[in-house]
Amino acid sequence: MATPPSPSSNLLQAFHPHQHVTEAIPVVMPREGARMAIASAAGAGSGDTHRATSGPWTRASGVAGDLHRSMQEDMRNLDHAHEGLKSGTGGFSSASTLDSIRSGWNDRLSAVLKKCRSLEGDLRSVGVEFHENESHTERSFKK
Amino acid sequence: MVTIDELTRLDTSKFSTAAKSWGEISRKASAARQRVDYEMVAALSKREKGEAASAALSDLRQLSQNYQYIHTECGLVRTALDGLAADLAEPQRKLQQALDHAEQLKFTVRSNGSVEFPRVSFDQLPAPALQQPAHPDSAPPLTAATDPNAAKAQEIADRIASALREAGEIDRRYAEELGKLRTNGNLKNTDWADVARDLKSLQAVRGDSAKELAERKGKPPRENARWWGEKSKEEQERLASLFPGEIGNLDGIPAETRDRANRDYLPMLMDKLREDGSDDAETKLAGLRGLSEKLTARNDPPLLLLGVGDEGHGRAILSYGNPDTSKNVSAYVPGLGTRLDADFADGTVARAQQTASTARRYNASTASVVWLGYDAPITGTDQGWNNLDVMGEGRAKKGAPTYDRFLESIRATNGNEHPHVTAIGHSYGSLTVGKASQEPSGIPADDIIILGSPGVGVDKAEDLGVGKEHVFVGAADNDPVSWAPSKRDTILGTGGVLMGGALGGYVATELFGDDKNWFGTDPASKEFGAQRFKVNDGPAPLIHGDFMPAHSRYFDPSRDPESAKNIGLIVSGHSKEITRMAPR
Repeated sequence: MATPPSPSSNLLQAFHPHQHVTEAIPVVMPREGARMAIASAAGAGSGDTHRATSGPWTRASGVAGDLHRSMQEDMRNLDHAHEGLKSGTGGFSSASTLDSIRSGWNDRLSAVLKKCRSLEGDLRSVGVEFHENESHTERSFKK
Repeated sequence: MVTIDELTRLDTSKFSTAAKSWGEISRKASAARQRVDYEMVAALSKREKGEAASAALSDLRQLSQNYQYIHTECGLVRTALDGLAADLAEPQRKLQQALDHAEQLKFTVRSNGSVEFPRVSFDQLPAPALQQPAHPDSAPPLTAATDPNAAKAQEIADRIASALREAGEIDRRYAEELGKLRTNGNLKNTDWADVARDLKSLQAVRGDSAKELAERKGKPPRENARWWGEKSKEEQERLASLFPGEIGNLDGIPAETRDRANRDYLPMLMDKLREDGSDDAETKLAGLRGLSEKLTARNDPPLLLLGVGDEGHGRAILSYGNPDTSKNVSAYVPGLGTRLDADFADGTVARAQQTASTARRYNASTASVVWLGYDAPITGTDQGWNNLDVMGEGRAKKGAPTYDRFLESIRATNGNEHPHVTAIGHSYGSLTVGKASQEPSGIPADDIIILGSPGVGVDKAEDLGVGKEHVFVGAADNDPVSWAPSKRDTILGTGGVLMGGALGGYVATELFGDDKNWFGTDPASKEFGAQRFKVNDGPAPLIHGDFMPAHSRYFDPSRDPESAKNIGLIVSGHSKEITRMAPR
């Protein structure tokens, strides 16, 4: 069974300023009712939490998921477009320079990909923790 | 150095294919940035408060920056690779022609570029050669000058060498450019100064485009629109990614393209100002920060950045609503004391939003622009109260043709058959509008709204060239700027007493002291002959500690609902429904 991605500690730390949070500790301390949402999120893999599809955190998590998947596809396409670059461009230093800058770009795009993946999980977890619906979330923040 | 074999075998489509994929990354990164800004940052910052939200927002802002960075830099990789493929095609073609020619002549081209040719035998030489005295032991050596094949071979060898040299030079240049487009996996590193340098360096390689764009600045917007429309989508993208500042500010380019280009240019411009660090740069930077915040927020109607720059007191043109698709477009020229600063980004831009939201109640197909495309006169304590700059016509005259061009541009790119264009001038901006009407081709507007005007430089509404029934005037009776010379004694008699101290002195001497401070007949007067619409009188000067409170309320539906509504009616094409008041 897939497990929900664990939120990065800074986000949860901010949410629980007095609680030490590490990647290894179970990520959320849900109020009653939120547990179900987590279970269903976990059960659905990368899918939506059933109980929290309308809140801004969950929607933002969905966007992060889209961006994560889209970046995966873009990186595959980029690789594909450079296959066989060497044949037909032999002797041209531009081709070797292009090859040499690709690894840095690969690192950058991978870092963005990772960030989107971790945001997807973090944002969803916060949304789940709030057992969010808009009025409820607002109340939580107004405290 | 490239060899004959390498240039012959070169498959430029490998570079074009790679270019396409970088272009795709760039394009999608731009779309991704928008999603981060609108669907994540704006959505969370609007409702969510607290530490969880601010931690998430800081992550998301960094992500947005990265997408912007990827968009720009990968766009440059695309442009470099496209340029490389296109530029190498030419020497490759030249080489092929030389090789074909050699083959026709049955010459042999060696891999080092030398050309072997068959010696011409004696009986093929022209007659005079046979008439030379015979030397039985050896024939005279045939030189290039005497053997026609030798000359042909030399010419082919030269062509080959030149093609190889050219290809080598192109390769070297682009390798250098591509080498500058390196990055790493550190998301904190989005160095806009570096990006700007990359851009500049690649622009130099495409010097022909730079020159062309510089010339386009002086061409009529309609011609620019045609020129742009004839380009392929790829070429448009290439130009916009390589020259974002130029394309973003070029009249005749479609609004959405300008907006995208300017948004790309904005972080580079901000970084430049940050590095500059002077007071002037800081002031402009504060303005751009404010604009940047507005641009990444969720706006209804959508906000487009149609121009931005740091020349003079700074430039910024923004539109609430798309001026290319809207039936009604207004363009408001701010005046007195306006420059690119935090106040502009806040209050001045808000006036365009107020205009748009009010007008859209009467016709949803309306866009409202605020146009800071000129240096308005600056007032304020730092400039000294006796700043004659304010009262001179120079700034208005200088801004007039630029404003006309912008209005032309609206017409050139608008998709409606007969867009309804309203020119709005507030304060000194109304003089700019007035001056724009006096340019040789007139002002390309259907209606003109004059607000809080010190005069528009003409004595009659009909002199503005749109018909006096299309000239509308909003003048609050407590707005001292709107009072014409004929009334100055009255004002001095009452307001002058009211306004004590330094400000009173300024108003008395600068605004009311001298006829020549004023720019023609009071537009609210009967004599001027415009349509005066109803506005609130506004508070008297200084009663609320404000210098000229009644001067800045015309657009604001909460402070002067009647005036705001009338402006909205005119802009949306419903000027028949305005409420009127008697001329002065």
